[in-house]
Amino acid sequence: MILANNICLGYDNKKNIIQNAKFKINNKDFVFITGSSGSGKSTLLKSFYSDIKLKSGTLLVNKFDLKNIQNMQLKKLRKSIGIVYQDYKLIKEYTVEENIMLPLKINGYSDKLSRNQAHKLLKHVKLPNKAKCYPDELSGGEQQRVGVARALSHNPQLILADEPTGNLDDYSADVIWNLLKKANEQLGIAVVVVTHRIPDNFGLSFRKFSISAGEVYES
Amino acid sequence: MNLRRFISFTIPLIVVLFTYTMYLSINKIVTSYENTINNDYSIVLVSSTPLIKSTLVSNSKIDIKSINHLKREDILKNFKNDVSEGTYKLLEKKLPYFYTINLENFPTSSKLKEIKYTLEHIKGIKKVETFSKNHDNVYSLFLLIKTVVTILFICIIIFTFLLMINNVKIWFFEHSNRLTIIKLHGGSIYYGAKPIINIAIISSIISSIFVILVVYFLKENLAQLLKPELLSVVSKNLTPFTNLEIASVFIISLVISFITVFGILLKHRLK
Repeated sequence: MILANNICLGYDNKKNIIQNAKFKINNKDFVFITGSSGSGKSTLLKSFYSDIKLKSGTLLVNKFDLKNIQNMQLKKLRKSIGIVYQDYKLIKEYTVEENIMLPLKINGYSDKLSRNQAHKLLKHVKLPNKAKCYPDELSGGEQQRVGVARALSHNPQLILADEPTGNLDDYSADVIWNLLKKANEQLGIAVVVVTHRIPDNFGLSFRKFSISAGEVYES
Repeated sequence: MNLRRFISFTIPLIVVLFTYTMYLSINKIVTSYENTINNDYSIVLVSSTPLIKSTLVSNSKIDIKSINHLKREDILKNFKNDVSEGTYKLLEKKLPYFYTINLENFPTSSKLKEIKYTLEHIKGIKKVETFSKNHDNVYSLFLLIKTVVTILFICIIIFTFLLMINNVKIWFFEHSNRLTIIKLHGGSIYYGAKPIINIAIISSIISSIFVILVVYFLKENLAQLLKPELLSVVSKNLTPFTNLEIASVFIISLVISFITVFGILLKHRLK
């Protein structure tokens, strides 16, 4: 699923944020990446969908080699991943339903099928009556639940989540953790979550990567 | 669809298409007027030797439509009663050959000077009369308008491009967040830019239809718009727009919109 071999990540000519990281994430793994603020957790996650380019090393994600990935290959990679962002990244001109339909439409699904899938997912994220609302009309917790529904909509092989419950109320956080657990347990989707704090009584076996001083190690 | 964006995209297109139709109309009037006056226009040649069209064409490289010989007998007839028999015989012996030539195209003033110079240097030709002073004033006026409209058309095309490029840039700036999110989900820039592509297509069609209707309205109401002197020339020479000319309005409209939108899209794609 993800194979990193001596990867170095950083911005421009500054010092590397991640130094010679080496790890493997398998299908059906549930992985937490933890570390202090500024340790490079989000940078590492961004490198998985090539939002940050590798400085050196080899990184394979869903069999795509990210070292010198071409535009067409990058699109295919991103279509095969579901991403949950800390700042939700919902399109404010789109309704909730249209936001969830986005990955499906990009993957070429019909309007009808995409809409059905969106409505099904809205029930799962406990927002069945918000289909026609715009993101600005939702609370932060609700917006993030829409973000998770969008990430799950096209049955991706891998879900990447960057601080998905960072600023959320307990109820929304619970809904999101349950959804991610279900996706992993029932659908076999690999999930990689960047977080400050792993929830108590998570109730699912998981792997934990920690980042400290640019080094990634499994604990 | 954002109405403000739609209007800001359509108005420059209407301006450029309207200028284009004016350019077409003036071209048609001038061309038609050229043909009319060209049929009535001829150059008179006086030659010491008989002239043949093929020889004249090969020697002068001038596009000659026809050459007519003015019969010497007809000219001499005018003098028969006014001069003595001896003088008449001398005239008959010495009188040169007179020709009128019609040209394929009506020449410009400079071209006419060139033709005169060329003809005067052909062996045997003694005198060339081009009646250059009668070179039509209206024709010169039309030529001036034609040139002005061409320059105006080019300026407006450049101005429109700049205006539309700015509009598309603003659109991209306003939608950069949406485009980024689409890109992060593996969507292409073209997928994200569907709304602006739709605006471009709809604006092109609406502005083309609008301009064609306005031009037809103006054509039907020329009497109210032009002075009588100009009206007679314009209405006689402004032939109806052909299907190809109407299609060219649509094509120009689409081409301008597409070049603008896809130019900016390509720039974003390469970033």
